[in-house]
Amino acid sequence: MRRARIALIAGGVLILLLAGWILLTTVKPTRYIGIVEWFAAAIIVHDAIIAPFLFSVGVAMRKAGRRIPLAVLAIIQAGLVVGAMFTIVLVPEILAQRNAHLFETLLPFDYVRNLGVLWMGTLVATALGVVAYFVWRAVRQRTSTSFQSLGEEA
Amino acid sequence: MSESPDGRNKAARTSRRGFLVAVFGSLAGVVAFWSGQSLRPLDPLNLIAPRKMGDGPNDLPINRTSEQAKITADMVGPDWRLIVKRGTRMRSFSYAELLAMPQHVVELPIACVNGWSQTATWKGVRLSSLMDAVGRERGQAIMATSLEPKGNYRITTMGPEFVDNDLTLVALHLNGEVLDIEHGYPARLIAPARPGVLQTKWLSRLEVTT
Repeated sequence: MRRARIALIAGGVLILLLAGWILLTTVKPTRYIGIVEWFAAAIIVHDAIIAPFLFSVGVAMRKAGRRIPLAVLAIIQAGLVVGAMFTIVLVPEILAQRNAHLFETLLPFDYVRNLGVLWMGTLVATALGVVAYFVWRAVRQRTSTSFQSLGEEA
Repeated sequence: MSESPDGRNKAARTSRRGFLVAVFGSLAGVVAFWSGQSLRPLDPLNLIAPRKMGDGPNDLPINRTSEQAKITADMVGPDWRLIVKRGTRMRSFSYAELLAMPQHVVELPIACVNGWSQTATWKGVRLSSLMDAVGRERGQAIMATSLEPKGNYRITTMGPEFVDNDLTLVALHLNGEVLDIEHGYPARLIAPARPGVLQTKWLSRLEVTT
């Protein structure tokens, strides 16, 4: 484990050095400000939007977890992650569609509608997953109960 | 974790499974609803990709428009000529002269560096035949120049492995129609295994470099 960690850290440092070298040799210094802005925006988006959102979802889940089975929580969380992934992909396209002068073959869809369709689909799939879990649990309980009663009879 | 006999063990195992389902579920979702821009069987599922299969002039998307490249109708009008050069030897081909040469059909993709790739049917003159007209020898590289006044890929070089390949064309037709101006009318390069940005559109000049 220790060796694997050292190898991973060394690999990470090497990739960072390579990235730094590529940055210094291929990117024009006039674009450095843009890169700094990008990093600043990434930190703001992560720390001010994504992290608090996930934290509050986690708290809500933990509170609900006292009453809801853990597997159901996991299914709901998986659904949220899938929906969040679609949102992360589609929101930049929606913004680009609104802000830029686009030519005909770039961003040809109604991405707002499609995001809604995908969220609905994710919601339905998540609900089906929860139902499937309860059905599976009920069947398993019935099976184990009947096995138990068989055992008692014998 | 397996050594802990308490209830936390089960909780950890369940959430790990949930984590994997979430990761692979989102991955599968994005791949399924995105890849239709490059994979025809998934085209009906394409809801999130920035391109659509077969969408655009000549049934193929475009990346850089004639407007962006500042190509005007005058530049590609009847006076247009394709200059082919090797040292002091030079030939000039009109559009009609190119059409009169033997035409070849190839199926090749535009594989854009933006991430989409779509196969199309191209028809035109073999690049090697045109270069032969000025006495290019096998193994010599060429340089292709576009009509566009500015742009990172206005001038591209092409190694002999592409020039000598029979699939490499100076294309005049695309998917059964005359090449649209957005796809590089009057003539453009199309070669196998080259990124889309190097498939020079609105050709004006081909020159042997070595």
